[in-house]
Amino acid sequence: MSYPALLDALHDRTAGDHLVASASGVVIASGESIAGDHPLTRFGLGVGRRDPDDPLVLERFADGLLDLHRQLLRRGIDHAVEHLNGRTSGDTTLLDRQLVQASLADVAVEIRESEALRPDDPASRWRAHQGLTAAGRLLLTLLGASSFLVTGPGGELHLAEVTGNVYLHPGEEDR
Amino acid sequence: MTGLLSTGVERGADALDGPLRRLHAQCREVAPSFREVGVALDRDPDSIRDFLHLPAFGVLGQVFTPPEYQTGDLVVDAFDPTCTALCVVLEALSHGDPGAILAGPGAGLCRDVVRELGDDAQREQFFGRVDDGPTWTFFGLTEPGKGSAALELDTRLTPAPDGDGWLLHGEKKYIGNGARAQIGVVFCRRAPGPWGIEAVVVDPSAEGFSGELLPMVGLRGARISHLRFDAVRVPADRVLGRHRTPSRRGIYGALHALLRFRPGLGAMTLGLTQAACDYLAEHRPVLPKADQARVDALLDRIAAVRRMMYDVAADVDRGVVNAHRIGTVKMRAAQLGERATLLAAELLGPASLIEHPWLEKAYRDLRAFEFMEGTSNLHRLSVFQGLLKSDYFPAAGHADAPRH
Ligand SMILES: Cc1cc2nc3c(=O)[nH]c(=O)nc-3n(C[C@H](O)[C@H](O)[C@H](O)COP(=O)(O)OP(=O)(O)OC[C@H]3O[C@@H](n4cnc5c(N)ncnc54)[C@H](O)[C@@H]3O)c2cc1C
Repeated sequence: MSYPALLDALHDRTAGDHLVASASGVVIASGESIAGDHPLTRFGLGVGRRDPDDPLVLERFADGLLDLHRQLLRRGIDHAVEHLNGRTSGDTTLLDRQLVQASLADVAVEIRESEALRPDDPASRWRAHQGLTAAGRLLLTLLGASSFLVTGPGGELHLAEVTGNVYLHPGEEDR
Repeated sequence: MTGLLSTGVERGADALDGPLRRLHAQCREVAPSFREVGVALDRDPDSIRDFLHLPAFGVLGQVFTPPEYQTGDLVVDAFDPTCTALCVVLEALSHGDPGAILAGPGAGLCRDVVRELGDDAQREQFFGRVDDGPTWTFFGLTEPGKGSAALELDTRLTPAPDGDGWLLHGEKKYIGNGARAQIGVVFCRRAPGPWGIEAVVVDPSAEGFSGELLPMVGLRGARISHLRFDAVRVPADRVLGRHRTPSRRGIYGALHALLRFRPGLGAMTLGLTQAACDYLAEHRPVLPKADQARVDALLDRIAAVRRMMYDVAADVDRGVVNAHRIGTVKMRAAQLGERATLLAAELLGPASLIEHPWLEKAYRDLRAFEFMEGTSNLHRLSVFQGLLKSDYFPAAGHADAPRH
Protein backbone atom coordinates (compact mmCIF):
# COMPACT_ATOMS: atom_id res chain seq x y z
CA MET A 1 0.00 0.00 0.00
CA SER A 2 1.36 3.46 -0.87
CA TYR A 3 2.05 6.09 1.79
CA PRO A 4 -0.91 8.28 0.72
CA ALA A 5 -3.24 5.28 1.00
CA LEU A 6 -1.81 4.33 4.40
CA LEU A 7 -2.24 7.92 5.55
CA ASP A 8 -5.87 7.97 4.45
CA ALA A 9 -6.48 4.74 6.34
CA LEU A 10 -4.97 6.35 9.46
CA HIS A 11 -7.26 9.37 9.09
CA ASP A 12 -10.14 6.98 8.81
CA ARG A 13 -9.17 4.94 11.87
CA THR A 14 -8.53 8.04 13.96
CA ALA A 15 -11.40 10.40 13.15
CA GLY A 16 -13.77 8.33 11.04
CA ASP A 17 -15.95 11.05 9.62
CA HIS A 18 -13.36 13.67 8.66
CA LEU A 19 -9.68 14.22 7.89
CA VAL A 20 -7.61 15.10 10.96
CA ALA A 21 -6.36 18.69 10.99
CA SER A 22 -3.08 19.54 12.74
CA ALA A 23 -2.80 22.08 15.57
CA SER A 24 -1.80 24.65 12.95
CA GLY A 25 -4.91 23.83 10.91
CA VAL A 26 -3.11 22.14 8.01
CA VAL A 27 -4.51 18.85 6.70
CA ILE A 28 -2.49 16.35 4.69
CA ALA A 29 -4.07 13.34 3.02
CA SER A 30 -3.94 11.54 -0.31
CA GLY A 31 -4.47 13.48 -3.52
CA GLU A 32 -7.75 11.59 -3.93
CA SER A 33 -9.00 12.89 -0.58
CA ILE A 34 -7.81 16.46 -1.08
CA ALA A 35 -7.70 17.76 -4.63
CA GLY A 36 -5.58 20.78 -5.62
CA ASP A 37 -2.25 21.84 -6.99
CA HIS A 38 0.64 21.69 -4.55
CA PRO A 39 4.28 20.56 -4.91
CA LEU A 40 3.25 17.47 -2.92
CA THR A 41 0.56 16.56 -5.46
CA ARG A 42 3.29 15.02 -7.60
CA PHE A 43 3.99 12.62 -4.73
CA GLY A 44 0.31 11.70 -4.37
CA LEU A 45 -0.61 13.98 -1.47
CA GLY A 46 -3.00 16.88 -1.14
CA VAL A 47 -2.91 19.76 1.32
CA GLY A 48 -5.96 21.44 2.88
CA ARG A 49 -6.89 23.66 5.82
CA ARG A 50 -9.50 23.27 8.56
CA ASP A 51 -10.00 24.05 12.22
CA PRO A 52 -7.57 22.03 14.34
CA ASP A 53 -8.73 18.75 15.78
CA ASP A 54 -9.09 18.01 19.47
CA PRO A 55 -5.72 17.32 21.24
CA LEU A 56 -6.73 13.76 22.10
CA VAL A 57 -7.48 12.99 18.48
CA LEU A 58 -4.17 14.59 17.50
CA GLU A 59 -2.31 12.42 20.01
CA ARG A 60 -3.75 9.23 18.57
CA PHE A 61 -3.05 10.43 15.06
CA ALA A 62 0.55 11.32 16.02
CA ASP A 63 1.19 7.84 17.44
CA GLY A 64 -0.25 6.39 14.25
CA LEU A 65 2.09 8.53 12.15
CA LEU A 66 5.12 7.31 14.07
CA ASP A 67 3.98 3.71 13.49
CA LEU A 68 3.57 4.46 9.81
CA HIS A 69 7.04 5.97 9.60
CA ARG A 70 8.53 2.86 11.21
CA GLN A 71 6.56 0.71 8.79
CA LEU A 72 8.05 2.63 5.84
CA LEU A 73 11.52 2.16 7.25
CA ARG A 74 11.00 -1.59 7.68
CA ARG A 75 9.87 -1.75 4.08
CA GLY A 76 12.81 0.41 3.10
CA ILE A 77 15.27 -1.99 4.74
CA ASP A 78 13.80 -4.94 2.80
CA HIS A 79 14.02 -2.92 -0.38
CA ALA A 80 17.63 -1.90 0.37
CA VAL A 81 18.74 -5.46 1.12
CA GLU A 82 17.36 -6.65 -2.19
CA HIS A 83 18.70 -3.63 -4.09
CA LEU A 84 22.19 -3.83 -2.63
CA ASN A 85 22.39 -7.59 -3.02
CA GLY A 86 21.80 -7.10 -6.73
CA ARG A 87 24.62 -4.59 -7.19
CA THR A 88 28.27 -5.52 -7.41
CA SER A 89 31.53 -3.69 -6.92
CA GLY A 90 34.75 -5.63 -7.46
CA ASP A 91 34.05 -9.27 -6.71
CA THR A 92 31.38 -8.70 -4.03
CA THR A 93 27.88 -7.32 -3.77
CA LEU A 94 27.36 -3.92 -2.17
CA LEU A 95 25.50 -5.75 0.59
CA ASP A 96 28.77 -7.52 1.41
CA ARG A 97 30.48 -4.21 2.19
CA GLN A 98 30.88 -3.68 5.92
CA LEU A 99 30.17 0.05 5.75
CA VAL A 100 26.85 -0.77 4.11
CA GLN A 101 26.05 -3.51 6.60
CA ALA A 102 26.78 -1.21 9.54
CA SER A 103 24.47 1.48 8.17
CA LEU A 104 21.65 -0.99 7.60
CA ALA A 105 22.11 -2.24 11.15
CA ASP A 106 21.96 1.33 12.47
CA VAL A 107 18.64 1.87 10.71
CA ALA A 108 17.24 -1.34 12.16
CA VAL A 109 18.44 -0.48 15.68
CA GLU A 110 16.76 2.91 15.48
CA ILE A 111 13.46 1.28 14.51
CA ARG A 112 13.67 -1.12 17.48
CA GLU A 113 14.63 1.63 19.90
CA SER A 114 11.91 3.88 18.56
CA GLU A 115 9.32 1.17 19.20
CA ALA A 116 10.47 1.08 22.81
CA LEU A 117 10.37 4.85 23.26
CA ARG A 118 6.62 5.09 24.00
CA PRO A 119 6.47 8.89 23.71
CA ASP A 120 3.71 10.42 25.79
CA ASP A 121 3.79 14.14 25.06
CA PRO A 122 4.27 16.35 22.00
CA ALA A 123 7.95 16.99 22.70
CA SER A 124 8.85 13.32 23.01
CA ARG A 125 6.82 12.46 19.90
CA TRP A 126 8.76 15.10 17.97
CA ARG A 127 12.05 13.68 19.20
CA ALA A 128 10.91 10.22 18.11
CA HIS A 129 10.07 11.65 14.68
CA GLN A 130 13.51 13.21 14.44
CA GLY A 131 15.14 9.87 15.24
CA LEU A 132 13.16 8.18 12.49
CA THR A 133 13.97 10.98 10.06
CA ALA A 134 17.68 10.55 10.70
CA ALA A 135 17.39 6.78 10.22
CA GLY A 136 15.48 7.35 6.98
CA ARG A 137 18.15 9.69 5.67
CA LEU A 138 20.80 7.06 6.40
CA LEU A 139 18.75 4.41 4.64
CA LEU A 140 18.34 6.62 1.60
CA THR A 141 22.08 7.16 1.26
CA LEU A 142 22.33 3.38 0.82
CA LEU A 143 19.99 3.41 -2.15
CA GLY A 144 22.17 5.80 -4.13
CA ALA A 145 20.54 7.83 -6.87
CA SER A 146 17.57 5.43 -6.88
CA SER A 147 16.58 7.02 -3.57
CA PHE A 148 16.00 10.25 -5.45
CA LEU A 149 13.21 8.74 -7.53
CA VAL A 150 9.68 9.82 -6.58
CA THR A 151 8.58 6.20 -6.83
CA GLY A 152 10.09 4.16 -4.03
CA PRO A 153 11.44 4.75 -0.53
CA GLY A 154 12.85 8.23 -1.34
CA GLY A 155 9.47 9.67 -2.30
CA GLU A 156 7.65 7.93 0.54
CA LEU A 157 10.09 8.94 3.25
CA HIS A 158 9.93 12.54 2.05
CA LEU A 159 6.18 12.42 2.60
CA ALA A 160 6.62 10.96 6.08
CA GLU A 161 9.03 13.80 6.92
CA VAL A 162 6.68 16.50 5.65
CA THR A 163 3.68 14.94 7.38
CA GLY A 164 5.64 14.82 10.64
CA ASN A 165 6.64 18.46 10.19
CA VAL A 166 2.93 19.28 10.01
CA TYR A 167 1.40 16.99 12.66
CA LEU A 168 4.25 16.20 15.05
CA HIS A 169 6.10 19.49 15.36
CA PRO A 170 5.10 20.67 18.85
CA GLY A 171 5.70 24.38 18.35
CA GLU A 172 8.28 26.46 20.16
CA GLU A 173 7.03 26.15 23.74
CA ASP A 174 6.87 22.37 23.80
CA ARG A 175 9.95 21.55 21.78
CA MET B 1 19.83 38.54 4.96
CA THR B 2 22.66 37.39 2.74
CA GLY B 3 25.22 35.81 5.04
CA LEU B 4 27.79 38.24 3.61
CA LEU B 5 30.41 39.85 5.82
CA SER B 6 31.34 43.51 5.53
CA THR B 7 34.13 42.34 3.21
CA GLY B 8 31.43 41.34 0.71
CA VAL B 9 32.10 37.60 0.92
CA GLU B 10 30.90 34.87 3.25
CA ARG B 11 32.87 33.57 6.23
CA GLY B 12 35.56 31.22 5.02
CA ALA B 13 36.05 33.04 1.72
CA ASP B 14 38.33 35.67 3.23
CA ALA B 15 41.35 34.49 1.24
CA LEU B 16 39.81 35.52 -2.10
CA ASP B 17 41.71 38.31 -3.81
CA GLY B 18 40.19 41.56 -5.14
CA PRO B 19 39.24 40.37 -8.66
CA LEU B 20 37.64 37.20 -7.30
CA ARG B 21 35.69 39.21 -4.72
CA ARG B 22 34.47 41.38 -7.53
CA LEU B 23 33.47 38.30 -9.52
CA HIS B 24 31.65 37.04 -6.43
CA ALA B 25 29.81 40.34 -6.05
CA GLN B 26 28.80 40.41 -9.72
CA CYS B 27 27.49 36.84 -9.53
CA ARG B 28 25.58 37.50 -6.30
CA GLU B 29 23.96 40.45 -8.04
CA VAL B 30 22.44 38.27 -10.79
CA ALA B 31 21.87 35.17 -8.64
CA PRO B 32 18.49 36.14 -7.10
CA SER B 33 16.84 35.79 -10.52
CA PHE B 34 17.59 32.06 -10.28
CA ARG B 35 15.12 31.72 -7.38
CA GLU B 36 12.20 32.25 -9.72
CA VAL B 37 13.76 29.96 -12.33
CA GLY B 38 14.23 27.21 -9.76
CA VAL B 39 10.62 27.35 -8.62
CA ALA B 40 9.36 27.36 -12.22
CA LEU B 41 11.57 24.39 -13.14
CA ASP B 42 10.38 22.45 -10.13
CA ARG B 43 6.86 22.72 -11.55
CA ASP B 44 7.81 22.29 -15.19
CA PRO B 45 11.39 21.27 -16.03
CA ASP B 46 10.80 22.26 -19.66
CA SER B 47 10.15 25.91 -18.86
CA ILE B 48 13.90 26.57 -18.94
CA ARG B 49 13.73 28.22 -22.37
CA ASP B 50 11.63 31.06 -20.90
CA PHE B 51 14.60 32.15 -18.81
CA LEU B 52 17.67 31.80 -20.99
CA HIS B 53 17.83 35.57 -21.55
CA LEU B 54 18.74 36.10 -17.87
CA PRO B 55 22.26 37.42 -17.26
CA ALA B 56 22.91 34.59 -14.80
CA PHE B 57 22.83 32.10 -17.69
CA GLY B 58 25.34 34.31 -19.50
CA VAL B 59 27.68 33.91 -16.53
CA LEU B 60 27.37 30.14 -16.81
CA GLY B 61 28.31 30.44 -20.49
CA GLN B 62 31.45 32.27 -19.41
CA VAL B 63 32.33 29.54 -16.91
CA PHE B 64 31.65 26.50 -19.00
CA THR B 65 32.96 27.65 -22.38
CA PRO B 66 36.75 27.72 -22.70
CA PRO B 67 37.78 31.33 -23.37
CA GLU B 68 39.03 30.55 -26.88
CA TYR B 69 35.50 29.46 -27.90
CA GLN B 70 33.53 32.26 -26.25
CA THR B 71 31.64 34.45 -28.68
CA GLY B 72 28.81 36.00 -26.63
CA ASP B 73 28.91 39.26 -24.67
CA LEU B 74 30.54 39.11 -21.26
CA VAL B 75 28.11 39.47 -18.34
CA VAL B 76 30.78 39.71 -15.68
CA ASP B 77 34.38 40.87 -16.04
CA ALA B 78 36.52 38.36 -17.94
CA PHE B 79 38.22 35.90 -15.58
CA ASP B 80 40.60 32.98 -15.79
CA PRO B 81 38.51 29.78 -15.74
CA THR B 82 40.38 28.42 -12.74
CA CYS B 83 38.94 25.97 -10.25
CA THR B 84 38.80 28.80 -7.69
CA ALA B 85 36.80 30.99 -10.07
CA LEU B 86 34.50 28.05 -10.78
CA CYS B 87 33.84 27.74 -7.03
CA VAL B 88 33.22 31.48 -6.66
CA VAL B 89 30.70 31.55 -9.50
CA LEU B 90 28.92 28.31 -8.68
CA GLU B 91 28.52 29.08 -4.99
CA ALA B 92 27.23 32.58 -5.67
CA LEU B 93 24.75 31.45 -8.34
CA SER B 94 23.61 28.49 -6.25
CA HIS B 95 22.59 30.91 -3.55
CA GLY B 96 19.90 31.65 -6.15
CA ASP B 97 19.25 28.07 -7.24
CA PRO B 98 21.63 25.21 -8.14
CA GLY B 99 18.87 23.47 -10.09
CA ALA B 100 18.86 26.35 -12.56
CA ILE B 101 22.59 25.83 -13.11
CA LEU B 102 22.13 22.13 -13.77
CA ALA B 103 19.22 22.86 -16.08
CA GLY B 104 21.12 25.33 -18.21
CA PRO B 105 22.60 24.77 -21.65
CA GLY B 106 26.35 24.62 -22.18
CA ALA B 107 29.26 22.22 -21.93
CA GLY B 108 28.88 21.61 -18.17
CA LEU B 109 30.84 18.62 -16.94
CA CYS B 110 31.87 17.78 -20.54
CA ARG B 111 33.98 20.92 -20.66
CA ASP B 112 37.05 19.44 -19.02
CA VAL B 113 36.88 16.03 -20.61
CA VAL B 114 36.62 17.44 -24.15
CA ARG B 115 39.21 20.10 -23.49
CA GLU B 116 41.61 17.61 -21.95
CA LEU B 117 41.15 14.65 -24.31
CA GLY B 118 39.93 16.11 -27.57
CA ASP B 119 42.24 16.94 -30.46
CA ASP B 120 41.85 20.35 -32.12
CA ALA B 121 39.16 19.15 -34.52
CA GLN B 122 37.16 17.44 -31.76
CA ARG B 123 37.31 20.49 -29.53
CA GLU B 124 36.31 22.73 -32.40
CA GLN B 125 33.43 20.43 -33.31
CA PHE B 126 32.16 20.09 -29.72
CA PHE B 127 32.47 23.66 -28.50
CA GLY B 128 31.37 25.00 -31.89
CA ARG B 129 28.18 22.96 -31.55
CA VAL B 130 27.65 24.15 -27.97
CA ASP B 131 28.07 27.75 -29.03
CA ASP B 132 25.56 27.37 -31.86
CA GLY B 133 22.37 28.51 -30.05
CA PRO B 134 21.29 27.06 -26.72
CA THR B 135 22.71 23.54 -26.71
CA TRP B 136 22.33 21.07 -23.87
CA THR B 137 24.97 18.45 -23.20
CA PHE B 138 25.18 15.37 -21.00
CA PHE B 139 27.95 13.47 -19.26
CA GLY B 140 27.08 9.77 -19.38
CA LEU B 141 29.00 7.65 -16.91
CA THR B 142 26.54 6.02 -14.44
CA GLU B 143 24.70 2.86 -15.55
CA PRO B 144 21.63 1.09 -14.16
CA GLY B 145 23.87 -1.55 -12.57
CA LYS B 146 26.99 0.52 -11.88
CA GLY B 147 27.22 3.81 -10.04
CA SER B 148 30.05 4.01 -7.52
CA ALA B 149 31.87 1.19 -9.31
CA ALA B 150 31.99 3.26 -12.50
CA LEU B 151 35.23 1.65 -13.69
CA GLU B 152 33.30 -1.59 -14.11
CA LEU B 153 30.88 -0.07 -16.61
CA ASP B 154 29.24 -2.38 -19.16
CA THR B 155 28.19 -0.11 -22.05
CA ARG B 156 30.05 -1.53 -25.07
CA LEU B 157 31.72 -0.01 -28.09
CA THR B 158 32.14 -2.52 -30.92
CA PRO B 159 33.58 -2.06 -34.40
CA ALA B 160 30.81 -1.44 -36.94
CA PRO B 161 30.49 -4.53 -39.18
CA ASP B 162 30.64 -2.33 -42.30
CA GLY B 163 33.98 -0.94 -41.10
CA ASP B 164 32.60 2.59 -40.74
CA GLY B 165 33.36 3.62 -37.14
CA TRP B 166 31.84 2.03 -34.05
CA LEU B 167 28.52 0.92 -32.58
CA LEU B 168 27.42 1.77 -29.04
CA HIS B 169 25.30 -0.68 -27.02
CA GLY B 170 24.06 -0.29 -23.46
CA GLU B 171 22.31 2.00 -21.00
CA LYS B 172 23.10 4.99 -18.81
CA LYS B 173 20.96 6.05 -15.87
CA TYR B 174 20.60 9.22 -13.78
CA ILE B 175 22.15 11.36 -16.51
CA GLY B 176 21.55 15.10 -16.14
CA ASN B 177 19.88 16.62 -19.24
CA GLY B 178 20.26 13.26 -21.00
CA ALA B 179 16.85 13.26 -22.65
CA ARG B 180 17.06 16.90 -23.73
CA ALA B 181 20.67 17.19 -24.91
CA GLN B 182 21.82 17.75 -28.47
CA ILE B 183 25.28 16.32 -27.79
CA GLY B 184 26.94 14.35 -25.01
CA VAL B 185 29.89 12.28 -23.90
CA VAL B 186 29.38 8.59 -23.15
CA PHE B 187 31.91 6.42 -21.36
CA CYS B 188 31.94 2.91 -22.75
CA ARG B 189 34.01 -0.25 -22.95
CA ARG B 190 36.02 -1.18 -26.04
CA ALA B 191 38.11 -3.80 -24.22
CA PRO B 192 38.35 -5.33 -20.71
CA GLY B 193 40.02 -3.42 -17.87
CA PRO B 194 40.21 0.27 -17.00
CA TRP B 195 42.27 1.18 -20.08
CA GLY B 196 39.63 -0.42 -22.27
CA ILE B 197 37.24 2.44 -21.45
CA GLU B 198 36.69 5.12 -24.09
CA ALA B 199 34.94 8.47 -24.03
CA VAL B 200 32.90 9.05 -27.18
CA VAL B 201 30.90 12.05 -28.35
CA VAL B 202 27.36 10.99 -29.14
CA ASP B 203 24.65 12.71 -31.15
CA PRO B 204 21.24 11.91 -29.60
CA SER B 205 19.52 12.26 -32.98
CA ALA B 206 21.42 9.16 -34.18
CA GLU B 207 19.38 6.03 -34.83
CA GLY B 208 19.17 3.67 -31.84
CA PHE B 209 19.46 6.42 -29.20
CA SER B 210 16.52 6.86 -26.86
CA GLY B 211 16.07 8.84 -23.66
CA GLU B 212 13.42 8.85 -20.97
CA LEU B 213 12.94 11.38 -18.22
CA LEU B 214 13.04 9.96 -14.68
CA PRO B 215 10.64 11.29 -12.02
CA MET B 216 13.00 12.74 -9.41
CA VAL B 217 12.26 14.02 -5.90
CA GLY B 218 14.22 17.24 -6.40
CA LEU B 219 16.52 19.17 -8.76
CA ARG B 220 13.88 18.55 -11.38
CA GLY B 221 15.30 21.11 -13.77
CA ALA B 222 18.33 18.85 -14.21
CA ARG B 223 16.06 16.44 -16.09
CA ILE B 224 17.75 13.30 -14.87
CA SER B 225 17.31 10.69 -17.58
CA HIS B 226 17.64 7.05 -18.52
CA LEU B 227 19.42 6.63 -21.86
CA ARG B 228 19.47 3.56 -24.07
CA PHE B 229 21.87 2.88 -26.94
CA ASP B 230 20.83 0.22 -29.39
CA ALA B 231 23.72 -0.02 -31.86
CA VAL B 232 24.13 3.76 -32.05
CA ARG B 233 26.72 4.56 -34.70
CA VAL B 234 29.74 6.50 -33.47
CA PRO B 235 31.98 7.83 -36.27
CA ALA B 236 35.66 7.06 -35.72
CA ASP B 237 36.52 10.72 -35.23
CA ARG B 238 34.13 10.93 -32.25
CA VAL B 239 36.34 8.80 -30.02
CA LEU B 240 37.90 11.42 -27.79
CA GLY B 241 41.67 11.37 -27.50
CA ARG B 242 42.19 8.83 -30.29
CA HIS B 243 45.63 10.41 -30.75
CA ARG B 244 46.57 9.42 -27.16
CA THR B 245 47.57 6.12 -25.57
CA PRO B 246 44.68 4.16 -23.92
CA SER B 247 45.95 5.04 -20.43
CA ARG B 248 45.71 8.78 -21.25
CA ARG B 249 42.17 8.82 -22.58
CA GLY B 250 38.80 7.25 -21.62
CA ILE B 251 38.69 6.79 -17.87
CA TYR B 252 41.64 9.14 -17.40
CA GLY B 253 39.46 11.83 -18.99
CA ALA B 254 36.50 11.00 -16.75
CA LEU B 255 38.60 11.22 -13.61
CA HIS B 256 40.30 14.36 -14.83
CA ALA B 257 36.96 16.07 -15.41
CA LEU B 258 35.27 14.80 -12.25
CA LEU B 259 38.08 15.67 -9.87
CA ARG B 260 38.46 19.18 -11.22
CA PHE B 261 34.74 19.79 -11.10
CA ARG B 262 34.20 18.29 -7.63
CA PRO B 263 35.16 21.42 -5.63
CA GLY B 264 32.61 23.25 -7.80
CA LEU B 265 29.93 20.76 -6.82
CA GLY B 266 30.87 21.41 -3.20
CA ALA B 267 30.47 25.12 -3.97
CA MET B 268 26.99 24.58 -5.37
CA THR B 269 26.03 22.65 -2.26
CA LEU B 270 27.41 25.35 0.01
CA GLY B 271 25.60 28.06 -1.94
CA LEU B 272 22.21 26.48 -1.32
CA THR B 273 23.13 25.51 2.24
CA GLN B 274 24.05 29.11 3.00
CA ALA B 275 20.84 30.23 1.31
CA ALA B 276 18.83 27.96 3.64
CA CYS B 277 20.57 29.51 6.67
CA ASP B 278 19.99 33.01 5.31
CA TYR B 279 16.33 32.19 4.68
CA LEU B 280 15.98 31.08 8.29
CA ALA B 281 17.66 34.26 9.56
CA GLU B 282 15.37 36.36 7.41
CA HIS B 283 12.19 34.68 8.67
CA ARG B 284 13.29 34.14 12.27
CA PRO B 285 15.69 37.02 12.99
CA VAL B 286 15.47 36.37 16.72
CA LEU B 287 15.83 32.84 18.06
CA PRO B 288 15.94 31.46 21.60
CA LYS B 289 19.56 31.28 22.76
CA ALA B 290 19.85 27.50 22.55
CA ASP B 291 18.49 27.46 19.00
CA GLN B 292 20.76 30.29 17.92
CA ALA B 293 23.67 28.26 19.26
CA ARG B 294 22.67 25.37 16.97
CA VAL B 295 22.54 27.71 13.98
CA ASP B 296 25.89 29.23 14.92
CA ALA B 297 27.46 25.79 15.17
CA LEU B 298 26.20 25.03 11.68
CA LEU B 299 27.50 28.33 10.30
CA ASP B 300 30.92 27.59 11.83
CA ARG B 301 30.99 24.33 9.91
CA ILE B 302 29.85 25.92 6.68
CA ALA B 303 32.66 28.48 6.96
CA ALA B 304 35.17 25.69 7.65
CA VAL B 305 34.10 23.66 4.62
CA ARG B 306 34.16 26.81 2.48
CA ARG B 307 37.74 27.42 3.62
CA MET B 308 38.66 23.82 2.78
CA MET B 309 36.96 24.20 -0.58
CA TYR B 310 38.99 27.25 -1.54
CA ASP B 311 42.06 25.46 -0.33
CA VAL B 312 41.57 22.40 -2.56
CA ALA B 313 40.58 24.67 -5.44
CA ALA B 314 43.83 26.60 -5.04
CA ASP B 315 45.65 23.27 -5.01
CA VAL B 316 43.99 22.25 -8.27
CA ASP B 317 44.97 25.59 -9.79
CA ARG B 318 48.61 24.92 -8.99
CA GLY B 319 48.41 21.38 -10.36
CA VAL B 320 47.96 19.49 -7.09
CA VAL B 321 44.88 17.28 -7.29
CA ASN B 322 44.39 15.52 -3.95
CA ALA B 323 41.30 13.33 -4.39
CA HIS B 324 41.09 12.59 -0.65
CA ARG B 325 40.85 16.23 0.39
CA ILE B 326 38.63 17.18 -2.55
CA GLY B 327 36.24 14.36 -1.64
CA THR B 328 36.13 15.57 1.96
CA VAL B 329 34.83 18.95 0.82
CA LYS B 330 32.16 17.46 -1.39
CA MET B 331 31.06 14.98 1.29
CA ARG B 332 30.90 17.47 4.15
CA ALA B 333 29.12 20.08 2.08
CA ALA B 334 26.40 17.55 1.21
CA GLN B 335 26.00 16.54 4.84
CA LEU B 336 25.82 20.15 6.01
CA GLY B 337 23.18 20.85 3.37
CA GLU B 338 20.86 18.22 4.79
CA ARG B 339 21.54 19.42 8.31
CA ALA B 340 20.76 23.03 7.37
CA THR B 341 17.40 22.29 5.79
CA LEU B 342 16.35 19.97 8.62
CA LEU B 343 17.27 22.64 11.16
CA ALA B 344 15.56 25.45 9.22
CA ALA B 345 12.37 23.36 8.93
CA GLU B 346 12.44 22.71 12.66
CA LEU B 347 13.09 26.30 13.70
CA LEU B 348 10.50 27.76 11.35
CA GLY B 349 7.89 25.86 13.31
CA PRO B 350 4.95 23.52 12.66
CA ALA B 351 3.97 23.07 9.02
CA SER B 352 7.01 25.09 7.90
CA LEU B 353 7.42 22.76 4.92
CA ILE B 354 3.93 23.76 3.77
CA GLU B 355 4.05 27.45 4.66
CA HIS B 356 7.51 27.97 3.13
CA PRO B 357 7.44 26.37 -0.35
CA TRP B 358 10.97 27.60 -1.12
CA LEU B 359 12.27 25.78 1.94
CA GLU B 360 10.40 22.60 1.02
CA LYS B 361 12.07 22.70 -2.40
CA ALA B 362 15.54 23.35 -0.96
CA TYR B 363 14.87 20.53 1.53
CA ARG B 364 14.31 18.12 -1.37
CA ASP B 365 17.04 19.49 -3.64
CA LEU B 366 19.83 19.38 -1.09
CA ARG B 367 19.53 15.63 -0.65
CA ALA B 368 20.80 15.07 -4.23
CA PHE B 369 24.31 16.27 -3.51
CA GLU B 370 25.13 13.16 -1.50
CA PHE B 371 25.02 11.13 -4.71
CA MET B 372 26.54 13.37 -7.34
CA GLU B 373 30.31 13.00 -7.71
CA GLY B 374 30.66 10.07 -5.34
CA THR B 375 28.79 9.06 -2.21
CA SER B 376 30.02 9.73 1.33
CA ASN B 377 31.05 6.11 1.83
CA LEU B 378 33.36 6.31 -1.16
CA HIS B 379 34.89 9.54 0.06
CA ARG B 380 35.37 8.17 3.56
CA LEU B 381 37.17 5.18 2.09
CA SER B 382 39.26 7.57 0.02
CA VAL B 383 40.20 9.57 3.13
CA PHE B 384 41.36 6.32 4.69
CA GLN B 385 43.49 5.56 1.62
CA GLY B 386 44.94 9.05 1.92
CA LEU B 387 45.88 8.34 5.52
CA LEU B 388 47.61 5.10 4.53
CA LYS B 389 49.64 7.00 1.94
CA SER B 390 50.34 9.87 4.37
CA ASP B 391 48.68 12.03 1.76
CA TYR B 392 45.64 13.35 3.59
CA PHE B 393 46.87 16.13 5.86
CA PRO B 394 48.50 19.00 4.01
CA ALA B 395 52.23 19.36 4.55
CA ALA B 396 53.43 21.94 7.08
CA GLY B 397 53.71 25.36 5.51
CA HIS B 398 50.75 24.69 3.24
CA ALA B 399 47.95 27.26 3.57
CA ASP B 400 45.66 24.69 5.15
CA ALA B 401 48.21 23.23 7.57
CA PRO B 402 47.69 24.03 11.27
CA ARG B 403 49.38 27.30 12.22
CA HIS B 404 50.80 27.31 15.76
C1 LIG C 1 20.68 14.57 -9.13
C2 LIG C 1 21.66 13.60 -9.71
C3 LIG C 1 22.33 13.91 -10.89
C4 LIG C 1 23.22 12.99 -11.47
N1 LIG C 1 23.83 13.30 -12.68
C5 LIG C 1 24.64 12.40 -13.28
C6 LIG C 1 25.20 12.68 -14.57
O1 LIG C 1 24.95 13.73 -15.17
N2 LIG C 1 26.00 11.74 -15.14
C7 LIG C 1 26.30 10.55 -14.53
O2 LIG C 1 27.03 9.77 -15.10
N3 LIG C 1 25.76 10.24 -13.30
C8 LIG C 1 24.94 11.14 -12.67
N4 LIG C 1 24.37 10.84 -11.43
C9 LIG C 1 24.62 9.54 -10.82
C10 LIG C 1 25.66 9.56 -9.70
O3 LIG C 1 26.93 9.76 -10.23
C11 LIG C 1 25.55 8.20 -8.95
O4 LIG C 1 24.35 8.26 -8.23
C12 LIG C 1 26.70 7.94 -8.00
O5 LIG C 1 27.84 7.62 -8.71
C13 LIG C 1 26.38 6.79 -7.03
O6 LIG C 1 26.03 5.64 -7.72
P1 LIG C 1 24.66 4.86 -7.38
O7 LIG C 1 23.58 5.84 -7.27
O8 LIG C 1 24.52 3.77 -8.38
O9 LIG C 1 24.92 4.24 -5.95
P2 LIG C 1 25.58 2.80 -5.65
O10 LIG C 1 26.92 2.72 -6.26
O11 LIG C 1 24.60 1.74 -5.96
O12 LIG C 1 25.76 2.90 -4.07
C14 LIG C 1 24.73 2.51 -3.17
C15 LIG C 1 25.27 2.61 -1.75
O13 LIG C 1 26.36 1.72 -1.59
C16 LIG C 1 27.49 2.42 -1.11
N5 LIG C 1 28.71 1.83 -1.69
C17 LIG C 1 28.97 1.65 -2.99
N6 LIG C 1 30.18 1.08 -3.14
C18 LIG C 1 30.68 0.93 -1.89
C19 LIG C 1 31.89 0.40 -1.38
N7 LIG C 1 32.84 -0.07 -2.18
N8 LIG C 1 32.06 0.39 -0.03
C20 LIG C 1 31.12 0.89 0.79
N9 LIG C 1 29.95 1.38 0.36
C21 LIG C 1 29.73 1.40 -0.96
C22 LIG C 1 27.29 3.85 -1.55
O14 LIG C 1 27.99 4.74 -0.70
C23 LIG C 1 25.80 3.99 -1.41
O15 LIG C 1 25.49 4.29 -0.08
C24 LIG C 1 23.48 11.75 -10.83
C25 LIG C 1 22.83 11.45 -9.62
C26 LIG C 1 21.93 12.35 -9.06
C27 LIG C 1 21.25 11.99 -7.78
